[in-house]
Amino acid sequence: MNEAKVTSGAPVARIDQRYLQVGIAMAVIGALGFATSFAGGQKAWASSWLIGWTFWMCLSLGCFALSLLFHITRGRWGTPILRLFEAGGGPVTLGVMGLLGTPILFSLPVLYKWVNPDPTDIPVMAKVAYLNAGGFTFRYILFFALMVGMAYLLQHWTRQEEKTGDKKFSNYRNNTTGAFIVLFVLIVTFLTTDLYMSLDPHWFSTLWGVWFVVGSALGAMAFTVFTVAQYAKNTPYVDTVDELMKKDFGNLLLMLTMLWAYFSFSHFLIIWSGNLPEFTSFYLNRSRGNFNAVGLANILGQFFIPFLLLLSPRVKREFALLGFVAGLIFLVRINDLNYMIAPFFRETWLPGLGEIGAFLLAGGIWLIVYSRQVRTAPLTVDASPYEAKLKEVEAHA
Amino acid sequence: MSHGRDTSPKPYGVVAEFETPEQLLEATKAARQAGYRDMDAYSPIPVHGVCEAMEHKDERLGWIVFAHGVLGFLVGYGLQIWTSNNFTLPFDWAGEWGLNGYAHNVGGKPLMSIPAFFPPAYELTILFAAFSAGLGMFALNKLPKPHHPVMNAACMIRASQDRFILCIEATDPRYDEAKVEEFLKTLNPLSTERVMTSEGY
Repeated sequence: MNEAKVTSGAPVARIDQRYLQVGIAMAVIGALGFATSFAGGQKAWASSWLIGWTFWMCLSLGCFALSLLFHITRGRWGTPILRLFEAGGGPVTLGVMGLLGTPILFSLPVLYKWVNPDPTDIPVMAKVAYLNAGGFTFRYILFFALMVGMAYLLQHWTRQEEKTGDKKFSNYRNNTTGAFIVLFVLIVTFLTTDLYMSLDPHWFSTLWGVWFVVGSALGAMAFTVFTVAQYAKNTPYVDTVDELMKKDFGNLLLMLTMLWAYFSFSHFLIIWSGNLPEFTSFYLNRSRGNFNAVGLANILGQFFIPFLLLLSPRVKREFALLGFVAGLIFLVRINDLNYMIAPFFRETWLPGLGEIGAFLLAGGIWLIVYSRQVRTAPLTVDASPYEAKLKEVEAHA
Repeated sequence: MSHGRDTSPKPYGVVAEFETPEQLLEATKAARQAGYRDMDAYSPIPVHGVCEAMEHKDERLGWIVFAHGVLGFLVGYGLQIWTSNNFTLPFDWAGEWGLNGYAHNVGGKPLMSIPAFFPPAYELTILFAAFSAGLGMFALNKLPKPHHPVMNAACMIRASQDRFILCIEATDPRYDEAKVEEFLKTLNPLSTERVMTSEGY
């Protein structure tokens, strides 16, 4: 343990520079691609933007979810990566993603059928008390404001504790995070119900929200582990990430892939067993136009391959392998977006140029914000308070 | 109880008694550094890092559990696929013994309902894996073991309460009782003791 703390003199991880360059390149190329969708009218660009923006917004949700998980568990595993969670899911990034979603608020009539429902469509007419443009906009603003507020408080308390060493900030986090997690899952449930489930207002699923929570957390963990793996030989990670933490990273990824598979399969099995027309439309729409192949790639790439690889202790010991698995999961998350959201808009599996452009543009902006956010504080949190706690628990065991 | 085997007491190893888990961890690392290979640690609580420090690299159990998990999955699916379809064995007695399939229409679903078969197959995966983990652990550790020579050490009485004990065993290729005891004394233990096996074992 002691030798791991010795500063190795390795070069500093320049996540900020690398991701800024990648972000700018993605944003420029993406803007060109996205511009082509404007020729197709408002529905074309708004749906492209909704799909592209969703991926990165969910990545922010996932980073925020994982930071909540760290604050409530206070595990050592979180100390080298909390700053990365905050960069992706802190108050600034969540706020920026909220603002980037506003074009959707101005395109509700072209995206959502419930804005001007057919009066003879009884199931939809019964929902307009909840599903209406005013309520949608109000909830959107409320949810992002609440998430930014929670993220701000947790980040503020962590940094104040570091600056002053005052344990009261630690108690603030302990006392609030449990309630924040409940609130967060409720927010994501309602937010994803509004944004995505209501794209087909006849269809509904009660698993939808938590499916997004887990999928987002999986994507965020994969992105974070991939990032750390790239810089495993650089400071500060070379000195702070030890064998146990690497194992924890691998196990968290394993847990999230299993949870994702569990939710996905339950969702399918319940709808398949029920065999009722109002529920099966979801999978019927996703079994045409080669979408079955997209779904199969999801099952293999987001469950079977990473699951079998992450069972092996060797993968969890070597950052090169762990980074590869994390990168694979992250890529398949993009495929998952194509499976979950895109079939609401198109019947063919290949995304259009406008959608790819919107994805790259939103991602470019996200990475630029991320690269600026990682500079606001040291890349790792001092692990000693969390280790002291661990020893105390052990001594009383 | 002699069966022609020499069962007189023989050196089993040297134990050192420590007061804290940190000392035990340091001692284990030092012993490994000094080149000793056959050792074991005894402690009332799990001490993180001791297993890694001893470098006991035995990954057999993981493979046993994995193989049983796969077996359970196949048994689960196999059982359901066989019983839910009209498969018959080419023996007259198979029907009498109820070994042929029993095709039954459940809710209009196909006889080969792969999604519906998954939960029981998954449960059998877990069942087989969990049982093989528990029983495999016992088997590989050669448990139950009513007698263990290290119990002859006086300090072992507190190994399940508040003492942390390291034993360097006589099977080690570098074992030399006097040198081992001398080495252990340099690690600041509360006590050290040469342990013999019991008469008859």
